Amino acid sequence: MPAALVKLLGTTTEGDVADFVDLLTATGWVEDEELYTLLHAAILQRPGFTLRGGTNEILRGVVARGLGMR
Amino acid sequence: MSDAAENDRRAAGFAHLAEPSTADPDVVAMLTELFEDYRATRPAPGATVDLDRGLWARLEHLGLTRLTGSEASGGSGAGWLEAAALLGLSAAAGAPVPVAEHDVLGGWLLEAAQLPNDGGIRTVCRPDPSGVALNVTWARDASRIVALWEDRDEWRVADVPLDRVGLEEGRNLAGEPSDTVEFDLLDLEDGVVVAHGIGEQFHHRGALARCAQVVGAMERVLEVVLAHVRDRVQFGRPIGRFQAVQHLVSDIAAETALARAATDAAVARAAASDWQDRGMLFAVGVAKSCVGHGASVVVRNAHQVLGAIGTTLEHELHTLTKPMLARRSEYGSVHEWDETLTTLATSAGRDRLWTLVTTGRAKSADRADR
Repeated sequence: MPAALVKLLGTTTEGDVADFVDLLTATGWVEDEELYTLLHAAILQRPGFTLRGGTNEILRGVVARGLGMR
Repeated sequence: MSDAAENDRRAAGFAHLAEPSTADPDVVAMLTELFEDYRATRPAPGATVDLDRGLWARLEHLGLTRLTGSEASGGSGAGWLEAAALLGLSAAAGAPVPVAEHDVLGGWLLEAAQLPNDGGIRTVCRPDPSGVALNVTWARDASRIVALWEDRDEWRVADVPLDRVGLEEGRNLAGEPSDTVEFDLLDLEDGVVVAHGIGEQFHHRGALARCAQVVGAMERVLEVVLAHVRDRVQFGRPIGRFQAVQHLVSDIAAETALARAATDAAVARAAASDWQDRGMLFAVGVAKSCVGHGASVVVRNAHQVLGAIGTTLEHELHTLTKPMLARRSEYGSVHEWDETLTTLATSAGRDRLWTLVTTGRAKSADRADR
């Protein structure tokens, strides 16, 4: 269960960080190539974070089992 | 003001709600058929997206590339209701054509400046004081670039041929052409001076056009997701039978409905007032904010439900989600529009907030104008 919790929290946070920066940045106004390169890489890779190695939905099931709910 | 006059004034604020606020059904039926056909016959998606000149010629033949242009200037004379339908349905089909840039932005700027429009492909941008514009979508494919340029407190519109600008090719998050354009300052200085409101209105029009595109894509994403959860069987049943999956999909539907309602409200206000309604800033801000935050949920949940297959090159899903993320950050970041709304709401204050929500402007601001 600890592994499931860590992956659930960690990959969700990774995705949140990418999305937060994406909400803050506008296209076409500030030239910061490194920021955009990193942001775009993070945005494109993000779907994988919460899928590979156990989806969030499976992990929540593992946590629920650990808590004695099923 | 008497009570009767006050009631009349309030009723006038809602008048646009009583008027027809849906696009011409014949136009929508034609667009639906056209883009369903396009989706069925288009080439398989690749890593990059290039202008589809065949589709563009088809749209041109049907009078759709200059849908909102005045008939006097060779346009089809339609309004924003039809334009929003075109933007949404073309985005839902992942159609690589500059419908927003060429017509509702570029064509409009040319008309505002009373410049001729030969119908050749246009894109638009706002170059900085040194004449450089970043991330100009479809620039390399345009015959001319319509530049809106702020020069010593005056706004100018210049229609500059592609061979007179410096071009550095790039791609946006969606893999679409998004180039850096460097103008000769003399070309910008030769631009026609336009009214001061044009600069602000350009930003609002661009933001709302992007909303219409993102919402169209959201609606298609919901269809793709629903089909997948019915077909895909895991652990002995279609994954749509799992409550955890149902919740993800329900949130996609909810955010899509909210984004659609907010966008339609702004489009209806724009169409009814030809963008003159003083509530446009608020209406566009609400749309841009709802669409922007909704895109976060729709994109994340859709990819979560489809799993790795949604990111494979051949799959339709990423051809919808990547443009959604690229477009929500154009014409102001989501955060900037949130701040605009916050400022409007806090300056309206507790007593005027509801008036702001229903009419798009706080009454106290109206009084200050008099």
